[in-house]
Amino acid sequence: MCAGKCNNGSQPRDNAMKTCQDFESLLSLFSNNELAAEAREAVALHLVTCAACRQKVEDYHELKKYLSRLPAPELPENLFADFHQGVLEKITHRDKTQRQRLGLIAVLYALYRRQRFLIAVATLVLMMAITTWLTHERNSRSMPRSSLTQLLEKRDWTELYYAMNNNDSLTNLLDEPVSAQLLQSALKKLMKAQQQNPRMRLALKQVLSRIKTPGGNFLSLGRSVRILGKISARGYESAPRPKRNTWNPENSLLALQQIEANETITMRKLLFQKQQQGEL
Amino acid sequence: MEKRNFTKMNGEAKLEIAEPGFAEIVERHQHSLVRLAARLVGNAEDAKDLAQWAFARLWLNRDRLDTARGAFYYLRKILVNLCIDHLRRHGRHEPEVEFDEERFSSDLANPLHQLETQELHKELLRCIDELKPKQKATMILRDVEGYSVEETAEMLACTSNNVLCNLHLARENVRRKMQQWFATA
Repeated sequence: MCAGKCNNGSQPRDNAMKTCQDFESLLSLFSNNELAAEAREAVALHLVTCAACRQKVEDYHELKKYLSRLPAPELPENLFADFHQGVLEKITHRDKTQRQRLGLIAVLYALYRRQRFLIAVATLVLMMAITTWLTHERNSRSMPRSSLTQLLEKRDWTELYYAMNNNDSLTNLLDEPVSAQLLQSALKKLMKAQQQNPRMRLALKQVLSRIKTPGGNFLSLGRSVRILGKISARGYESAPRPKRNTWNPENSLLALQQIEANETITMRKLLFQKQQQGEL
Repeated sequence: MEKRNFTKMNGEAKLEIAEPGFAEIVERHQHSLVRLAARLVGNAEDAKDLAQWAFARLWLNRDRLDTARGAFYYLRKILVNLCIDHLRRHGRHEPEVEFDEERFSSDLANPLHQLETQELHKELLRCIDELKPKQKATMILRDVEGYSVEETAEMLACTSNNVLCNLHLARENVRRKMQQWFATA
């Protein structure tokens, strides 16, 4: 549609106020006698004074003449030989499709009436499966791709937290060699932050508790979820203090200070050293 | 409309010739419908196919149609909408239908003039073919086939104002392109 650009004469404005642009959409209709009387008179008045619009009307008259004299399409003589047969084929084809479609609907409806409960459960399970799959897809798509070095350089604790919570990226992060100096400065920052924010301390502990110890003990995801549930219900103080996987960043900092600043170390190695010393 | 009467012959359903109503309607209107479709889609085979679908749809929906209106009214309406859908699906293509030039230019004694007219018609058809499907259908129905604005609106299932808007846009478009062609020719 013309999105309101055309004025078909339904709402005529004061003629003296109008410009050629206002009449532009009416000229082709004027040349074909398709305007209401009032609009026709307004255009006729404008044409008396405007040569450009008169020329356009002339052009539209010419176009009308050419269009009305356009030759009829020439059709091959044998085109109509099997016309009736073609119509019949299309009728039977359409009829069959319609019946098939109706048949399928009828079968589904009968099944629904007999096994209503089963179908409702199946639909529910299907919907849950789709939702789970979609969530998994979205999570795997939104998995942080940054390396540990980048995250530490950016001081992006939120992304680091999510990256360490994700099993796939956690392994990469733990085994990525990082500069000891960078890790040291990041740990200092973290220590400062966790002193100010108890929630952050808890989050850090929760994440680190998921790292498997050499003895094979680690906090399961189920337990972590239960702890989080407890925290949300009773408050932060109610969270059980992790016993085995207690991590003290100060000790890690001391261990880091023993390494040369230009050396690299992985998080796993650092934590493993600490665990062996019985500090983690 | 007549009641459906299919008989099984050699495993295939046949529309009996004894059903004079529908067979007669097909016989009477097939040429005009195919010609209209050929103007709209520019291809004789497609035009035939679309016209056959129009008859088939008329038959299948005969119980829902108002018998006060003639069959041709519905056939035109169904066909025009089928053609617009076809144009939307298949996009623009060069018209393959030959146009009967002699019928209009035989009276022109001057062969040069005749050639010019042929060129002009070809260019005009090309310009129309480049229009959007609905604008093209509106222009062909109103300006080429000569239907009234109200009849065109009924066929296109829209209001008269919509028809006038589409007509203006189509004419303006074709006028500009023809003006350019005249300037370069």
